[in-house]
Amino acid sequence: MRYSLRALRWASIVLWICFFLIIVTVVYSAFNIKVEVGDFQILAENENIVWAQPFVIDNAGFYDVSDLNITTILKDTNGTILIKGSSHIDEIPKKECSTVWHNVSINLEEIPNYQIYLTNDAIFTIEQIIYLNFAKILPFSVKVNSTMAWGAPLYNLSISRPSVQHINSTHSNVSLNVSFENHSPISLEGTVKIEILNEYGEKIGVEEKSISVLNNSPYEETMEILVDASKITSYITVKVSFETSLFSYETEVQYGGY
Amino acid sequence: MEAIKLSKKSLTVRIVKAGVKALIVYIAYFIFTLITQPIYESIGHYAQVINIFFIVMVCFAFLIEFFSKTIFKYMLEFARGLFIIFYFITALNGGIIKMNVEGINVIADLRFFLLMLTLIMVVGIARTVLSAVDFLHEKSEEEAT
Repeated sequence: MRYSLRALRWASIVLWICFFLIIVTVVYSAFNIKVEVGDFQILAENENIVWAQPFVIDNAGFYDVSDLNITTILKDTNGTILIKGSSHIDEIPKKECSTVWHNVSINLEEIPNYQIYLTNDAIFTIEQIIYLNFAKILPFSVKVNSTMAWGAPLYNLSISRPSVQHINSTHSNVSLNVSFENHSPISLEGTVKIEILNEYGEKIGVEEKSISVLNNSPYEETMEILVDASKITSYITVKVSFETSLFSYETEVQYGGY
Repeated sequence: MEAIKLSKKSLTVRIVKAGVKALIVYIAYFIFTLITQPIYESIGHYAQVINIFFIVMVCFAFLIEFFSKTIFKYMLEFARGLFIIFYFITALNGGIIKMNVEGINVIADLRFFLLMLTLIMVVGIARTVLSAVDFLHEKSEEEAT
């Protein structure tokens, strides 16, 4: 009995020492991990907008950091998930510093109801979740919520009432103003195409122009379209299409009294 | 009952000894709160969990010392072991703790630590049970002689 008691006592003491040693070293190491989150950058890449954010993780502790996973979820004001992207790093060994670029690729056309966000500014909620397994015994996750102002690339898009001028007996000139402000963080490069349709849906004139609008800049252009004078009806429809590397957008407005 | 048989003098000695032990646990609690002061407010309801734990530990320390050299000491030690296991399992939500620190949600999986603590407490309980058997055995031998 005495020996059993002594053995259990020593086992208990050894276990308590191990327990406190693990706790102290884990807490010390956790406080020695420095994470620096850099400012995000927005870049245009092929048909996508790339959200790139650097994370510098300096693991100065006694234990490895494994299964590091950074997830970014972009939500609209109703909580609908617009974009979700993750970056994964298998391991950051102890006493090592590692820079992780967390890139989230955004294809505007994959966003639900993306056309709303082409002409309207919005406030998005960004949910960032960082998951890691510390020392392989302490899984840990941090969730940070923040907001981001979204600038519409075709903000306040307006098409003025077209004016019709008769040039000769066969042709007329339709002129109209197209204006918008590019509130997005990237420059717009592409084309704008104007189609004039009569009330029977017949295409009576087309004009296409290339556009180049810097970010946070307004765009205003008077478009002159030569149309078949014999096909002009009392109602005409103006169809405006934007084609850029990032998105396509089409809208039409009907005008009467011609 | 053994406790009833105690003289006034030995009762006073026991109370003083038990008081000193309880005071030592209280000082440990005080030092702990001083060290953890910077994060104490941000850990939410876990601060209350720690407070309750230390209050119960102070009570146990007092009672265990007060009933030393009686079978109640072992019963109380056994109860303390069980209390620590179940209290930590309940208070730490089975090992998964969730906190909100200034709008940042933190989830930590402490199941490994909880398992280790439970193992240590089980060893402690086993030791208490064996000690109680040993105590009763010695007591019966004393009575026989």
